[in-house]
Amino acid sequence: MSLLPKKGTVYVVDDDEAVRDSLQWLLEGRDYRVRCFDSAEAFLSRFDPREVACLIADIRMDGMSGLELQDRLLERKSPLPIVFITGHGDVPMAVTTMKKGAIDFIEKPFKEDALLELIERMLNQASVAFEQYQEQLNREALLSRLTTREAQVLQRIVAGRLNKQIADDLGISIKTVEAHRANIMEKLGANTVADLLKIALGAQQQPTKV
Amino acid sequence: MLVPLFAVLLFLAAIVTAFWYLRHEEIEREEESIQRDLGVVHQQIHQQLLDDQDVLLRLTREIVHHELTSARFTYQMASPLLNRSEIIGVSWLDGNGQEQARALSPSLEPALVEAPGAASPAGLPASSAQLFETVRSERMPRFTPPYRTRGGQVMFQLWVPILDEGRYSGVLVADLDVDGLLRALVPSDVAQRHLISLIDEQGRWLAGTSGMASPSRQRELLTQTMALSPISTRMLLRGEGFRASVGLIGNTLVWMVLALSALTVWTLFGSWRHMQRRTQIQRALERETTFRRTMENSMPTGMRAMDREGRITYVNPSFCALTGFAEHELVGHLPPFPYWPPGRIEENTRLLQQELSGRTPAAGVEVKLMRRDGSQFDARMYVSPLIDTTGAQTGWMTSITNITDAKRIRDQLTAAHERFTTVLEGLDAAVSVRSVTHGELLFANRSYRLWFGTDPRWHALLAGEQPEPTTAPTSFGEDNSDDLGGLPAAELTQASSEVREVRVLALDKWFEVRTRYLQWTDGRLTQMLIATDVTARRQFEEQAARQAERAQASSRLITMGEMASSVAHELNQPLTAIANYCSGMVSRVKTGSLSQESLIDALEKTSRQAQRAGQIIHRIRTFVKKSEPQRQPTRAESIVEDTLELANIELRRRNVSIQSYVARRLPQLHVDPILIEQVLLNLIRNAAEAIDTSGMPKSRRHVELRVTPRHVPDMGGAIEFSVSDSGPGMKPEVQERLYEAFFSTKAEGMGIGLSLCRSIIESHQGRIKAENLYNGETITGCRFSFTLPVGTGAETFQPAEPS
Repeated sequence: MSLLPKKGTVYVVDDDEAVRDSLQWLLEGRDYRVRCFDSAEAFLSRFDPREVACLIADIRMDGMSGLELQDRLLERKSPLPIVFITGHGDVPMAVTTMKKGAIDFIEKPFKEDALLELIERMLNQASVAFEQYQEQLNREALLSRLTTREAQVLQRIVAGRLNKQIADDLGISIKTVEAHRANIMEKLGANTVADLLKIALGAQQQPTKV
Repeated sequence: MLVPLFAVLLFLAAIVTAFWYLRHEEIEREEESIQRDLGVVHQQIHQQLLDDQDVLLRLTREIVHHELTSARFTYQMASPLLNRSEIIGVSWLDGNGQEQARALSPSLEPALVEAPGAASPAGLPASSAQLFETVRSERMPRFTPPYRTRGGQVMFQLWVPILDEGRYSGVLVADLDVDGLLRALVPSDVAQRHLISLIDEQGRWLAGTSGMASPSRQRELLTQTMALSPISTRMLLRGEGFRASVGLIGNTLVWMVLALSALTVWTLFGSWRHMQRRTQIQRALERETTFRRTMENSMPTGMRAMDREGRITYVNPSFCALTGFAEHELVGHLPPFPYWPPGRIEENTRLLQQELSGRTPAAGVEVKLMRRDGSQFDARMYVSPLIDTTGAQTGWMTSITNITDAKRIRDQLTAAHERFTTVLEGLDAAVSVRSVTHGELLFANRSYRLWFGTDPRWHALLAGEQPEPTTAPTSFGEDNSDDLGGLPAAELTQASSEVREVRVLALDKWFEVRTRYLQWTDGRLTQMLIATDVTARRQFEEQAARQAERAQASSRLITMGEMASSVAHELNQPLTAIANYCSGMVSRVKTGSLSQESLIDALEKTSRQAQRAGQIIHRIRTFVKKSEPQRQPTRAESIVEDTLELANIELRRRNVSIQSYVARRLPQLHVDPILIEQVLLNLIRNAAEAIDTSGMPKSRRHVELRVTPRHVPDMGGAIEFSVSDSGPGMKPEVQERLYEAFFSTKAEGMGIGLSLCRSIIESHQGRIKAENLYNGETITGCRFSFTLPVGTGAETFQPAEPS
């Protein structure tokens, strides 16, 4: 169909085939890559967290409900932004989902503009999260190259201790500490202590909350 | 008794025998003595008389030989006469009987004697001549029988014949004096011992040794007689024994012995009677003693007597058994006593002092005592003064009862009572007992006192009797007053307890009240009442009932609501899909990226979704069709009854009373009674709610339900149900939107009630209307009414669409 690059992937989870299909029809008309699932279970088994994507899920479904799906994703520390579709009288449920981190909820029948705006917002957020995720993976890869001793030394450097103190702590000579330090700098590709701290602290942080 | 009597008699017999024997012996001895003396005297007299005879014979011979002449006779005679005291005189008679000579005893007073040898002396039985002849014929000496002279002398004569060569030539006659004979011949010792006398053959006394002896003596004498043979003097020698002194003494002794014996017997008898009395008394005493001892022994009460110093003088077996000490260990013991527990000596000493000073209370004192084995027990001690026979107090008598068991039982009873009381007191329910006749409160537990104080009128109120003026009557329909006053108690107490629920306004509480009649401990007929606070339960029940009612009343509404929600969701799906397809198509058309095939495809899909929506609507219509009213012949009365039953709870909760009036002989209705009841109930509840929420005073807290026949122009015969309240009425803007669906003036209302009511009524071809009631310009209430046509059955139900 369209040769334009896709803006991003939109996962649609709804047990009503007509809604799913019509939504796909609508979104593909807007150049989104749409992947539909008829149940939460099917989605969870096939979704790829390395993709920049967002999720539109019906809150009431046969089998696993939208709320449960959200819980599962939170367990996996997935940064996937979510929007829930609510029907009549589901507002309290929708509020619960938002407290848990859902971006928003939309009521059926959809207003097209509002839906598209939401999807745009979600995808932006997803790309940011995806970048952070990539960085994190890099840092962890770098740090994994350090030896145990070097990791111990780095830990103390980050803690702001002097070489002499580190030597005392670890029962090694200052010269050895300096040697380790040089190795660490080299392995992590850091030129300054500030770079070192950035890498080390970034790696120690929990995955950035969305 | 008999033995001593027998002994006494035996003794007496022995004494008598001894006396008799002695006397007999004595008599015998006396008799022997007399005999002997008599023999001696007899011998003497015999000898003397023979001598006299010899003397006279010699004289005769001298005469024959003529040696003696008559002249010399007196002289010759002198010496023999002198020697022989008994011979008073001798006369010599010749053969012719002529006296030749005569000699007299010189000692004799001649004047006093008759002439000796007188031929026939006076008193001589035979004449001298006869004798003379006798002697001459016999030629033998012969003694005459004694005779008494004129001078009173007893004499006899000895005639001795003078024989000369065988020829009788005279006779010598000697006068012999009996007295003299005895005097001369009885030895003096014999005369002293015995009375020797001579008697003639006829027993006449002739002469005796002593003058005192006389035949007239009263006393019985021992008498022996002996004939003075062989000389035939015809005299008897008699000897009488003097034993006067011996007999007297013997007699006295006998009498004394007899008297003594009698005395002894009498004494014996007396002592026997005394003994018997003593025995009786002793037996009685023994009986009494045994009785008392048995009593004492059988008594579980321990008795202890003390003297005034506190020394134990007596303990009974029970006391020993109680304390475990033997009697000898306790008697004589001075305080402190061994049965005092070591730790309580001071207390016991104080009690003893109290006891000794007589200040022990009459009800007794409770003490703790110790047994020999060291175990202790509780005892109650009673003290009373010990009074002896003279009335003086000698000590104190203490009785001791083991009250350990009693105390334990009492403690248990107390504990049980406490438990009972605690349970009763701890009950959440108010328990009270009231006398039926007096109306006084006999028992009330804590809860009762807490809630109602001690006022028995609350009891009466709770029991459903006539309410007191001070207690606002709050019970609904509980006016079945108690008319059991005249029934026998047994029937009442057996009557099963009734349960009722009473609301007490003053406390704003509901009580479940159970009453039952019982006989109080003193036999009075009482009414027991247990009032359980069931406010919470009641509220819960009311709430539940309300909910149930609401659920029941609005079951169709809920179905409708759910249906609406479901419809909304169902319709949403196709509508959403349609919207999505349209949007997609629009955006594609705008970008021009829409191929004809995909457009057709999308349009077909859209159309399918539109059809799907249509199907949903169709389903709803068929569903609604199923809920048509089930009409059946129904009586207005039963509708009203059922409705009131349902409404009562709500009314009671809201404290609103209701009056209902159903006109008589109403025609039957052909309606769905459940639906009509729902409508009616809804109206009543609305009325009650309006009254309650607006806080109407008591005078305006009632609802009136009327069912009356009515003629409606376009319906013909109809029955009108009307519900009038005395509430604040409706505001005009409310009245306008009254039947609007989802419009409500109530906070929790759904706004379906009245609109549904109208639907129901209209489906029954009825009309519903609402109006305010006016008194002049002021609104006095509100009236909802609906009519139902009579005899309509063929019409089909058309669901009224809420406008």
